[in-house]
Amino acid sequence: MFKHILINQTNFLSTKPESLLEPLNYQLLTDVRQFEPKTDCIITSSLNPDFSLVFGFIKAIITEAGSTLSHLSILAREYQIPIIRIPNLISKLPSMGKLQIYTSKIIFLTDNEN
Amino acid sequence: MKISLGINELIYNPTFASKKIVGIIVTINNSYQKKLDQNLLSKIIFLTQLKLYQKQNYLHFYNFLNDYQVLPLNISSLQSQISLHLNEFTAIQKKIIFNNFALADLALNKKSSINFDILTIEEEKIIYFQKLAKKQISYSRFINKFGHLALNPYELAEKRFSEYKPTALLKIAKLTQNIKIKPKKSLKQYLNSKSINQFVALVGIRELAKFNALKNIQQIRNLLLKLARQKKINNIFKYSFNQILNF
Repeated sequence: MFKHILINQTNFLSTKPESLLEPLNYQLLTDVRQFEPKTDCIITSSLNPDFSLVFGFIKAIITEAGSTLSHLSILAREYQIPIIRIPNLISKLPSMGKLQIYTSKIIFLTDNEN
Repeated sequence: MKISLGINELIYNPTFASKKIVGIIVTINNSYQKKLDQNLLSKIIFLTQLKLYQKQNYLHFYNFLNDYQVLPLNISSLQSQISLHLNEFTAIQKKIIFNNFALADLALNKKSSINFDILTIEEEKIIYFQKLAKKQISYSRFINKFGHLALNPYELAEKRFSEYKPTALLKIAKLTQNIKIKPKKSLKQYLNSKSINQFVALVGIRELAKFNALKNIQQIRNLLLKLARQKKINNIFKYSFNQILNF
């Protein structure tokens, strides 16, 4: 049983994704030591600089808070990794799942049984 | 102009002891923000100081950071040593936050995208991790340069890299294996070059300053652990600094 969560408001802190990205595996992450290498997108409460350590694995970051001047935003811009700010998101999501990022919306495909 | 401080970005889920660090940073940030919000005269004076800093004065801070060392203190009381390192940390943090305001002001007036062609100390850390994973450098060489850093590094309860076992450090190092870092100038080379973008220079200086400020955090952590051993305190980080300084 899948539930779709659609976010229409997106606020980009680094680069903007040019085109539709393929469905990504996301992981809610607070500590980089818990990172799962199959993850394409991390979802965090803040732009902790530790997350730059996994730039080689991820294609996007979604954060509840942060600014364009954060060092992670500056580095992400350089490595072409979009950072998208969406407040009050984490409590609505399971710890892992799939999502699709468009230039003006994000769709979370969450398995209710997760 | 407003700088909103992301406390979680600074320390994720701070312990009671680390709330002192958060408090120091919030107080400094508010004091600078007040200069902007108070009245027109204080705003003009502060903005002028920021412009002078962006133009040339940042080099004084850079020179200070380049020569920076944490010196051993000849004081017997652990609590006094902790207080002195906290003062030192506060002094550097004031400069970092002033630098942040100067950066925010530059970002407001930024007209085009910037070619970010310096290697920050954060990227240098990633390169060291990659070399460690490939066994191109030794554990001790990594620790010598970055041993005072940590994950969630402003959290006093967090182990420094120098406290990790080699296998645990290698596990983190392996996370960095796929990152492709472009060849870039060092901050020193960049500041000596003819064409300098102030925004890029100030970001490089900010990261170098954090790198040095964290040397004091390491010292404070070590002193807290020593105090805990002496006074037989279990998990000293669950106490506030007022309590700690009165043990």
